[in-house]
Amino acid sequence: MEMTNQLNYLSTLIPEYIIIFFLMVIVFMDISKEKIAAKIPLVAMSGIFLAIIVAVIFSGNFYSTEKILDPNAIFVNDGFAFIFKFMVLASSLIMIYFFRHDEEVNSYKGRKGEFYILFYSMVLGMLLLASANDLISAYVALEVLSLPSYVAAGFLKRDNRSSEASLKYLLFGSAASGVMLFGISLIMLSVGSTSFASLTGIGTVIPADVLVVMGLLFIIGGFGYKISMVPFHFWAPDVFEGSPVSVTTFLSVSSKIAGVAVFARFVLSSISPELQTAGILDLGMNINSILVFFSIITMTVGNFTAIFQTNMKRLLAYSSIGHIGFIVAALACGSENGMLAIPTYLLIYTLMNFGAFLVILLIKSRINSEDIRDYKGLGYKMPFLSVMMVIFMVSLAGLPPTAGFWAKFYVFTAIMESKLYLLAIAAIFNTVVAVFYYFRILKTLYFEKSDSEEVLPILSTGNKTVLALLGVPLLILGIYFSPVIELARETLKIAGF
Amino acid sequence: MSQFPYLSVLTFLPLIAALALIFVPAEKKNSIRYTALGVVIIQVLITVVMWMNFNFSLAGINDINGYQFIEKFDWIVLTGIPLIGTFKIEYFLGLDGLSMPMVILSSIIAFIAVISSWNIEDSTHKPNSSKGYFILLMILNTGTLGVFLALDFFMFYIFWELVLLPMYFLIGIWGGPRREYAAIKFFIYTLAGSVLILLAIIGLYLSAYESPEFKVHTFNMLNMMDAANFKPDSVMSVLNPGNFRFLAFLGLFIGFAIKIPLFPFHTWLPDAHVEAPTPISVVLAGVLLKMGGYAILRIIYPIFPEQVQEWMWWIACLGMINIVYGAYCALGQKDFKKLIAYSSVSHMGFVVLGIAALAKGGSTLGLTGGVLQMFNHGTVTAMLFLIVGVIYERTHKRGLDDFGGLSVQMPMYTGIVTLAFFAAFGLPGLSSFVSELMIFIGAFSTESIRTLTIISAIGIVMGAVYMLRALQKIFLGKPREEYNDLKDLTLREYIMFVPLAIIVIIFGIYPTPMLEIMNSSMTTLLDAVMK
Repeated sequence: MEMTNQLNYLSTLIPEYIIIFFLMVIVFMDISKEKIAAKIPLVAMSGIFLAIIVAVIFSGNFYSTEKILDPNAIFVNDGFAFIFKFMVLASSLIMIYFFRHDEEVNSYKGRKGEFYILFYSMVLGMLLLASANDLISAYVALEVLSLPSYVAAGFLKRDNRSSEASLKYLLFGSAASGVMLFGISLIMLSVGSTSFASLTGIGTVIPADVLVVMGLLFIIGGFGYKISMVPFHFWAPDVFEGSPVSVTTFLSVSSKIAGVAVFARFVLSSISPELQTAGILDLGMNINSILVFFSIITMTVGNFTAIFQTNMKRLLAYSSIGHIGFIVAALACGSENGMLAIPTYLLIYTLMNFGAFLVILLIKSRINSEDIRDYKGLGYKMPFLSVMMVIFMVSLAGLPPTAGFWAKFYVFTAIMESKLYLLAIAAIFNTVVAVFYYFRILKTLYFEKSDSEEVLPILSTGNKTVLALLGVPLLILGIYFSPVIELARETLKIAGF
Repeated sequence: MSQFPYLSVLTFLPLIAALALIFVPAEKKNSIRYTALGVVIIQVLITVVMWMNFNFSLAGINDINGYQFIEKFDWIVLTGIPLIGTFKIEYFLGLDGLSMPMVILSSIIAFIAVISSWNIEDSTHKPNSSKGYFILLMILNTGTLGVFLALDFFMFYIFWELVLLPMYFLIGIWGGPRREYAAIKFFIYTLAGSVLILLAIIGLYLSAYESPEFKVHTFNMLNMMDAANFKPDSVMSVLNPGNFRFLAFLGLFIGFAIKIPLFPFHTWLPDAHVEAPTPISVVLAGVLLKMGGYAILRIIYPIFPEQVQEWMWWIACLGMINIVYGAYCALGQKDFKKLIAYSSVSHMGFVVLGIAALAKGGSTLGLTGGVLQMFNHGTVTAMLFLIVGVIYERTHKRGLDDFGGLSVQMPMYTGIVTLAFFAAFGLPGLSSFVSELMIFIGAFSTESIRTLTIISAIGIVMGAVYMLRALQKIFLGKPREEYNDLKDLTLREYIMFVPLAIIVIIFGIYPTPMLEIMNSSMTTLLDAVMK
């Protein structure tokens, strides 16, 4: 019995072991001959592919029995962890495609291995985050993810903006992690344990203990910083603008998936079980009303600031803050439908953001600009790219018949069901505002005349295929949505929510 | 259900054509145009066949057995969702006496729009743009028909939104000088309305069951029309004293009012109309504005009868403001197209006044008049916008003061214009007269809104003033030399004007065919609201 438990325990982290193994392989390849080092992207890709397969195979663990694991374990491998790990790994696979096409990153010849080592460490951190079931393990995983991120943001060391991004990220990050650690110590003080399982109900105790409330707020701050929730978002725009496009994509999509995973698990653990099923939030001061507040300011600040941006990366950075607001809104519902909405939203968020960033990357490699004013008339010069951009933007704006609409729809349903009408109104308002800046991009692409007549290099078939693989599912899921929600529901049911 | 799926074919044929057109090279202008033409001709034929097979005695509205050509399947079914249980969206299309006139109107206008778009590349100076244009026009066509046919609230919403996107691009790319501003303004206004509608839809969905016994939440509009189907303690139930029915009513009403457009949400309309290319103005005024009026009758009236009764006077009042204010603004316009746009605002006011003329056990004259006015306004305004298009294409001018004495240079054109103008201000013998008369009799006989009706009558006089003034300025007086070699109407232009002219004259003399379609539906609708 003891033995099986141990084995089970070890098997929870099998995808992580694979990542660690390949991380070492890449380190050795990097220091060997150039010929071998050139194969790094291929090896990196196969490593992640292997991790996905193993993750899927070992997901069978939690299909068979209910709870084989100790609830106090510091890492768990339940359905909730699985769906997020799957998203993290799948998005990492796409990330490698990005790296290979990012000319800024590739211009540093001989540092390719270094880049993939950083990337693999980040993947490791994200996988651990998705499994973390203890404040300490969550903190360690967060640091495993953050430290390489600081370096990656400053990867273009000849570029001042990139170095600035790195430094800003580091300063904000270390402050946030310090605050979070302090929060953890406060919780430890009042609860006596750091396991998520022992947190049950602390988010809803009335009258609230000052220590607990402070601890909760500090920890929320730490997680909020990772997912760039307002008011912990100040690093995001500068870092996103300064970093190479591929790193920006990574920070705004993949690393947020992992951040949301651990944040959601933390919030869920701290709500009392009755509240989870009832979804009614008429209690005064509790973690849900705190989240409602954060959600409203996050989406409002994100969307309103995005209106004034002219740099595409910066614009998407703010727009992603707006989207995080929606995800936090789903989390704030504290209901099962809210939980269902989170992986759903993230999955679609990943598809459309990857698409949008890939378009930016490809346009940048052609016109060497990320400024929206240089996008004038590209709709006619690059028809395929622009049509895909339309799909991604419409989906980001959350309009039918794209999958983005369903993502929003689920959040709205969860909000209405929990009777959070103020949040509903804020969300509605933000949806309209968001449409304005997404459509301004389309307007620039199609309604304005291009300044130059130069003919731009056409897209390769590979690029077109990848774009279509990201865009067409958005349209198909926009019409037939059942698979995504079925998947989310299956895995979450197993997780016991 | 072995019967031929008329409604699906009618709705999705344009979408399929649009998908096919993607693979046609942009240079093959003719094959693109003829494909679009083929689609709209088939649509008109299907509509005619449906009209011939239409059972006039069936009412529809809140009774599924009263609908015709029904197509009803499960579209998305998810079981075991927490708290909600089964999540179900239906593919549910159906036709009754309320949607039939709108479907007829949409098919006709779609046909006219394609004919009028024939030389869109030349008239908007966008070479090789036919492909994108016709693809968007076809998607738009699917959207409008879907709105008129969908009976599942969710489907309705998808179609409602589907209309927005192509319209945005059609105005923004092929429009006039201030097209970008107009396009985004149109989009944001309508979208703001749409999200309000979405919230109301979710609220209704979470409250309504398929039936009191069969407790599955539903988007089916017909189920929402029966108060017994609502969960007693839910936010939309009449039995719940703290319900949000008024808020939902308000959200839906504002959402739909923006589309009509009702004062004070009308300001997008003049901009959109003035900047849109002619065929798009035609679709906008001819069909899109009707979506608002139709949705109020189809959704708000049967689902929120008590709110409608309570706020009837205010709805009529908004109608009255639209009539008088729209006409007043039209009086001051120097731009021909803007004048027509404001006249649209005024005429849609008649629709609202008509449908607000409700009385317990009263006549259905107001309601019938309102729907008939939507149909008539659709055809007449389409003509008016085409008229502006003809002169603008030839001279690139639209100011009322830029012309004079055109009747000598373009006699046939002037004939058509005179007919359309007279129809627009409701000359007896032409179609609008019938519907406006019905609206006024209906509204006047409804005691509570009698005063409003009397004030609204000013609108008719003002209508005659601005229309005749435009006629006089452009067509009468001394002919100007610079226009001596203007060509009169071409064959293509005859093809778009003559069918509309025939409709205007026939329904002016003999409106019975249209009225008998609506008759039983309107009676049922009145009973449903004033029960």
